[in-house]
Amino acid sequence: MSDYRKLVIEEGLNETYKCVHCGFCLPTCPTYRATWDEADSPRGRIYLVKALLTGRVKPTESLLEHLDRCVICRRCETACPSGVVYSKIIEAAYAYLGDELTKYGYPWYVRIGFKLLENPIVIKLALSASSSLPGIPEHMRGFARSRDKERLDDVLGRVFKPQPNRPTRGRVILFVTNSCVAWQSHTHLVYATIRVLTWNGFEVIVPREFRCCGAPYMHMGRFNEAIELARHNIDVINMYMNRYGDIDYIVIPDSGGCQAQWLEYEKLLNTKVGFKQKVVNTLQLLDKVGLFGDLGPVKMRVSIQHSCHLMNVAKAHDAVIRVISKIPGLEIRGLETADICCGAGMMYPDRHPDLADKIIRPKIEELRKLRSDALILESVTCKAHWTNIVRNYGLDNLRLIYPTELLDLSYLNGDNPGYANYI
Amino acid sequence: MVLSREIINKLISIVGEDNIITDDVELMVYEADGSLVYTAKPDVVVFPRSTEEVAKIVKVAWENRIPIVGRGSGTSLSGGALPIEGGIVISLARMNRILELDIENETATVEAGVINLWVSDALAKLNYQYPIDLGYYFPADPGSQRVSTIGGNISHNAGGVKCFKYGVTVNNVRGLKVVLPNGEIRFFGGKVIESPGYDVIGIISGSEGTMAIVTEAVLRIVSNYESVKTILAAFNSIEDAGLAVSRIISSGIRPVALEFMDRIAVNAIEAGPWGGGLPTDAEAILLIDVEGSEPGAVAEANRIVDILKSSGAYMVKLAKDRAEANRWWSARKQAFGAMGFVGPNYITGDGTIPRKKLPEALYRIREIGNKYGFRIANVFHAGDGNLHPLILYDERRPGEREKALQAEDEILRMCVEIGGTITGEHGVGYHKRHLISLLYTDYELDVMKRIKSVFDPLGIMNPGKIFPR
Amino acid sequence: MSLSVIKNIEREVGNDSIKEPSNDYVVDGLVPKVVLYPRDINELSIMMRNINRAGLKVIPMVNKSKLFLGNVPKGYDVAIDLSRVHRIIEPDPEEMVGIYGISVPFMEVQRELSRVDRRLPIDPPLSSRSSIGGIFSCNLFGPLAYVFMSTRDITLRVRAVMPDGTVVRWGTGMIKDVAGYNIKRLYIGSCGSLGIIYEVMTRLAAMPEVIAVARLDRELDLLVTRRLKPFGVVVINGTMYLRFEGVKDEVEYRLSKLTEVSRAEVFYGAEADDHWYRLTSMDQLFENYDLIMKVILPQYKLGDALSLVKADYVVKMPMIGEAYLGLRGALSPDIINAIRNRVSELGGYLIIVKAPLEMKRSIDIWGLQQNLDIMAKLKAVFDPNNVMSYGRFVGGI
Repeated sequence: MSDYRKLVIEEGLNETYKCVHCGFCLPTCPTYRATWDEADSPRGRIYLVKALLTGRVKPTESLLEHLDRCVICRRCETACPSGVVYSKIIEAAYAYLGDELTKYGYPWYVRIGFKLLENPIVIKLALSASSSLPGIPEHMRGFARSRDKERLDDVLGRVFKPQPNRPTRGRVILFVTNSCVAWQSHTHLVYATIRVLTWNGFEVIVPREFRCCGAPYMHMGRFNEAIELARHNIDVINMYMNRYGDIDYIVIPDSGGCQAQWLEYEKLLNTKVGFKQKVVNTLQLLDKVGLFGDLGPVKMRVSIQHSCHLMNVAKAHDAVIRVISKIPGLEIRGLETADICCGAGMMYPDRHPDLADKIIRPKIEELRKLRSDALILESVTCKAHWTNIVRNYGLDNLRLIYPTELLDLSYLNGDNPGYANYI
Repeated sequence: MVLSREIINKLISIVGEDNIITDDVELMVYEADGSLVYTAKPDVVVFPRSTEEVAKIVKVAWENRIPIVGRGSGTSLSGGALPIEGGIVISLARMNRILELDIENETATVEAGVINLWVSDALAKLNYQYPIDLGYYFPADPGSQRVSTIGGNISHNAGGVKCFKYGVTVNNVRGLKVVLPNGEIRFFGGKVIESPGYDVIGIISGSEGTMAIVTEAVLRIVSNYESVKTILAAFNSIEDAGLAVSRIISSGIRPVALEFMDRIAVNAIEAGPWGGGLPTDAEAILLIDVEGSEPGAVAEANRIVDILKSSGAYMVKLAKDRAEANRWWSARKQAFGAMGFVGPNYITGDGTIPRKKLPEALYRIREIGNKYGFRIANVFHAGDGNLHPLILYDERRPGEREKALQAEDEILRMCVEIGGTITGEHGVGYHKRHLISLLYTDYELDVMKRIKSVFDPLGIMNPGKIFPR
Repeated sequence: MSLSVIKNIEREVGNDSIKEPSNDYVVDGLVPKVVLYPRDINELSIMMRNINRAGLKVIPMVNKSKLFLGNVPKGYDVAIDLSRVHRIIEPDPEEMVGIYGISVPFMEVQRELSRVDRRLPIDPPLSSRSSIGGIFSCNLFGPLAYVFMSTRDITLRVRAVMPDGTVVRWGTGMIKDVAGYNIKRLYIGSCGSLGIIYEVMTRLAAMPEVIAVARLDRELDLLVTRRLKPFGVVVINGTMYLRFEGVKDEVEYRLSKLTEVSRAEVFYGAEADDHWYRLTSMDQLFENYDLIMKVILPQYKLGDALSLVKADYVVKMPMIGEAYLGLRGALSPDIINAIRNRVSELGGYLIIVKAPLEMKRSIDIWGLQQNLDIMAKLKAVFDPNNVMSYGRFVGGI
């Protein structure tokens, strides 16, 4: 067993002792709210993992089932008055059980698929073919269905100077990669991010060398791959730091999942990398430094579904709302359960279609009642998932939009000469 | 006890395969509640979705003399949700619909599995339904209100921070639908302030599931005031803080809430993620809410500020807006859980004492802590005398848990000695049943047991609770 | 009735503790064979022990102001006159609680409490002539219950003598106490059917800085009334009274809002308080009418219920959904049943508080239909021999 694995197990077990069983996490858990079975709650899972790690129980089918059902949204962590870091506990379970749990939860083709999906060319092929091929996971189809027409390759490896007549406020590196299905499909977000940042006086470096952030591997307990990817991406940062001398921020376009994984790098590599505070979401950065330019009206009724990891790990969701609230004409209503996971993470709808359906239903009903024009989503995984949802539940008129895209729209509608044609 | 396949099959025929747990590993999750000091595993957990299903399940238990324990979110701090003698745990968690919000008659009708805070949340959505409304909420607000269910609140007659003004749970229940142990469905009360006959609602409330299973409740809701003011005060001495409380209440002002925390409690909260900017150097702090019209609330708040200052508070702050007040309150409401940071384990003590005995009680609690070598934090609902000493220990050290329980025992005996009681809102449950004879004679306890027999002649409802063996 | 019981009691109690019955002790036309007049709890306990053994039927009373309340007794051997048994008044102004013996008149308690700037925050009917015992055993309350809750709700501890003579205590007197069953709540409102309450401990309220009572010559709509946030509201034959309390700024604000919706005449301070207790005591109603009914409804349905009866005198408490109706003369059982059915459909109850004897004989005054089996079993726990107020409570228990 690798040292990291051992460390994860040890830390996880320690963490279980911090749980005082108060139950405050229960109603924040998407799976508990779907089944009302405490074995599907954070408190229940902690109890099970503790029993597992102390040898009280064997990994029975039912134990694997309840652990596997966790979406790992980490909402429970923000509800916990004792500060239990639940993710450490569920990771310990993955570390302890190894393949036993991943084999249980993920069908073989998903596991193979993960390997293949690091190759940019395979991704491109898969995205264009997946809507027609049988046997492709719904999650993948979601990405294919929500694919934008902008080409990621066209911006990779380029440096975008602040737009003309703008004071320079700093230099940022943008994390996107063509070795990830998300960034190959949601390219409009990437373009919008570059426009918004440069309009606000930032020089934006878009490296070609980044690879997947590693989050999917991490959550499956494949720590070695996650560590390898983390090391690679940090090397890329260091390379650019050396080349440019100074980088003010590492900006992750609206993707709570990637951002949360970046924030785990230090722990994963067990070193200080010294840039943890610099990892920010686009709007989080703009909330901090203030907005430039003329915000034009966006007449829309929008609802928000927070990205779990943007909210529970990066804790950037308030900043995002503060920025978009400034857009004139925008009416923000709901979702009431914006803070409860929609069940998108980790191919969840593919692995647990019934539970995913139960999780999403109250949100669908609310959207119908509100008659929202658009739903704001803050992570790429969420959008892939919701692309399928709007299709499957007949919410055809509901537009799915990233917060940065909304801000981009506002700039486009405002008096901002030259903005539209910058890239 | 072990249930036969036949009984399991009967239960399945009532609720269906998807609403029952028989797997050993899954059952393990249901062996603990919020107390975590003791555990007891059920033989089966069922999830009825209607009162009728509850009735059918209970009937099976009645016919076969199987113990029944009701469970909501499993947050009991007295072992109330533990199936001490095994048997059937009836989880009401899937009966969680809000059936009716009746603003005209100032009631909310809900199923037992509805989470307390949902009632106020649902009301908040309706607020201003009538143009002249100020909006409504459900005033019984235990610290666990984000998670604990109405059924559990009623069974334990839960308190909260607002009870000084609005009473405890039983004062806010107008009607109850229950299933009796023989499977009969009964309704008591209505949307009315009283009903003829004995107060059966009052006797079932707080009976800790030993008489009947509550499946639906009609709750009293109350309207908001135009303005709420929150005041925070810090003291260098516990005595001064106690005196300030007495003087505030004597002045004729009826604060909605009046909370006291000692230094260890404040420091634990502020060390965690829910810190609310409470002063960590004070020996005691008070957190007070008053409500009224804007001019009325301001006048009351100013009066309280004056009293606090003249009672020796070294810092008095009026919250500048609701956001600041909410930070203070959410810090207070997370107080128990925050002990996990410094504990890591803790026993939540719960006794009530005459308010003026607070300094004496705290002094003696400190002595008990010293004797056993525990740190003990104190959170106190100062308006109503309900004291929560939180005994911090580490379960991984052998023997510590037992010692901590002994310390709790001693504290509760002290509460009785100075004129108080062994539980203000968490219930007797399993943990404190050996202490009930400090309060009641054998004759009186026998009357209680016979009242239980009126409802539960076979003794299948939550056996092993309240009464000493 | 066997004389030996009385002999036994005589041997153990003082000379003047046994009296000949006078007209004052007649209940629904029935005259008791003897009146017991205990001087303390010990004597009361002795009396009950002997009575219970012999299975005699007892009706307890203090000021005898509400002897008309209850079904016609199924037996009445002994009147227990409690007017001297326990007269303490012990306020604890700091703890905001008070202890009172049941023999003390309500108004005397209020006077004592006001000396320490406190009060019992209830305003029950017949407060002018009731004892603590009558009010608490019947759970009587008035409009202030909207804010301060019912008499039962403010009760923290009950000391009682069980029918078998055992002295018991229910509740510890703490505002929050969930140790054991909440038996004190059963006693309050049991109308002397479970034993004899001899002492109660309750929450108190402080005297507010300002009390104001506003008189309106018309009745405001319920929703408008609620919005004014009064502490209590009583409408007597169409004249509405709203009571406000609190610090000066609060009361002034409320009154200013009131004047936006209606003209009003306002009384303040002691004058207002006296006025309020005169109104809520309803002495005129109880003195002048043969038939008095009480309706309890979901508040918004109260108006519908009142339209069912043409009453000669109406005291309405819209905030708590209750009204007392006075009629001259009797109503037939059929009419009562018809009204009751309608009230029941509206989600409420109708209680006959006082009625001509003939009428009482033909109806159940409480009108409770459901759960009578449980009520009877609860009674049997305390009073298996049916000695206490036999037949007078719900369902004739």
